[in-house]
Amino acid sequence: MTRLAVALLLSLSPLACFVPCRAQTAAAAAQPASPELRFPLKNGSVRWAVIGDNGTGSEPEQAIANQMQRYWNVVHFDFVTMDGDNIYYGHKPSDFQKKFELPYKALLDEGVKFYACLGNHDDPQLEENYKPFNMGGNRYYTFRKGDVEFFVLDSNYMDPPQLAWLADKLKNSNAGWKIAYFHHPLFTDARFHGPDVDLRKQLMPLFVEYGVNVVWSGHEHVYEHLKPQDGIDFFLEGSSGELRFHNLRQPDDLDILGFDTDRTFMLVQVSGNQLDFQVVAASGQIVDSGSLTRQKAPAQTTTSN
Amino acid sequence: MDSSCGYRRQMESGRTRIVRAAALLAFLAISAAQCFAQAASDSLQKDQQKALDNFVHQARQYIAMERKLPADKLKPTTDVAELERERVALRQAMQQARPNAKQGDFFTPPVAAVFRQLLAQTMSGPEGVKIRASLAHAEPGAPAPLVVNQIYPDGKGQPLQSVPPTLLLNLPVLPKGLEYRIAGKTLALRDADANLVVDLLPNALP
Repeated sequence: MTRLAVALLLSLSPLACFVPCRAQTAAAAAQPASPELRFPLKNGSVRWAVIGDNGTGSEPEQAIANQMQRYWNVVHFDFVTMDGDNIYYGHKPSDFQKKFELPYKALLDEGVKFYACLGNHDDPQLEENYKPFNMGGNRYYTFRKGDVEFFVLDSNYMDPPQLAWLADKLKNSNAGWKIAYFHHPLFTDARFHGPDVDLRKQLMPLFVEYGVNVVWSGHEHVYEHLKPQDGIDFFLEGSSGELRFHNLRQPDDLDILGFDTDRTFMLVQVSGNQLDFQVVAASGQIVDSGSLTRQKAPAQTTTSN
Repeated sequence: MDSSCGYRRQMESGRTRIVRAAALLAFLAISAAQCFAQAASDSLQKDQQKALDNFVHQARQYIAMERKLPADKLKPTTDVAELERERVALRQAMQQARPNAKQGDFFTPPVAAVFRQLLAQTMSGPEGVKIRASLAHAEPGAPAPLVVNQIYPDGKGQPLQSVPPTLLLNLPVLPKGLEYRIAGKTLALRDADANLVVDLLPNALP
């Protein structure tokens, strides 16, 4: 009980994670150079990594960055999508260094691109104009890799112009895969914030009408692979720097799998109609893995919560 | 018998006429009151719309003025210090361009009244529960004090309160560069590029 309380207290502060994360880093260092990959790499596939709520500048963020580097040596993912809270607290030049440039230096040096969305802890104007985040001076934007188009939204301020822009971009997209990501989750089993139901009311009709395949968000400091909602697959990756230890409600009815006891990041590969994913913890443990098949048309399953 | 019947008929006919006349008068009175109320309501709605139109016009003028300044909006760079310098320069230029800026310049009394009414209606409407949940969901924290024509405070890294989409759908659309922000019960008008408090409306949210 005491150990649980201590672990809980440690997990609440980004700076207080020193002890367990030291152990995780040591564990990661002791691992073989070639990490285990649970999906076969396919020629011509689109490969990327997903992080969220990462920008603490503390040791756990570095531990995840180290794991990403290990996997990059095998997967050679081209880019990283960021689910927001990219830079916590201060936003001085030294913060950008400590919380982004240094942890991911090895990846940046390899030419890996990062595509950020804005979280509630971010400084919108500085970050959307910070070139390494590839936002092009915009709160919301799209980018395309092969047959995958990404719709990067600003869920802090979902105003009518952004909704109209999203509808237009989705409608006119001819991409085989439409993937949306933004900070605030529409569905989650995490207890700290819970789902943003007002945001859900505005976004879900557009996602369903225009055939969004997969949605990522952060904000809750856990990992979740959620059951499909209205035929759309949902992931929450918000523990790549921060962590809320044991924050998932039990039973976590919405989740296919939830994980809240270590920091994580995701690896994703899209090839043809298949999306493969794998979730790796700071310790090196593989937390989750699997494949999704692209929906032929927006399916009509039930929405809960 | 016949005369008695005739008298009764006359009496009934007289009462009927009185009742009919009274009903007619009542109908006319109610109709007139309804017409008067409708006219008053129309006039109020027109006044409200005019106030909102003025507000949007003023917001557009503000952005047009900002775009004419030599210190323009931020441009993408890897140099965060340069971004911060540009933002400070833009903020100072806007502060100097509006040296007498004060609370209520945009949220004038008529505009403030309409905003409070719109927000109250939205918050008490069918989506009110979702909006309140959305506000609570967004890690609001204790709002830092806001001052017109001063930097929008981020305190000690305090997170930015997100604005529920349904609330934004019920407020006038702002030109790009201006945005609504919520701090406690206050609705602020924020210059996004300069990170400046343009105006604020206290007790805007019920």
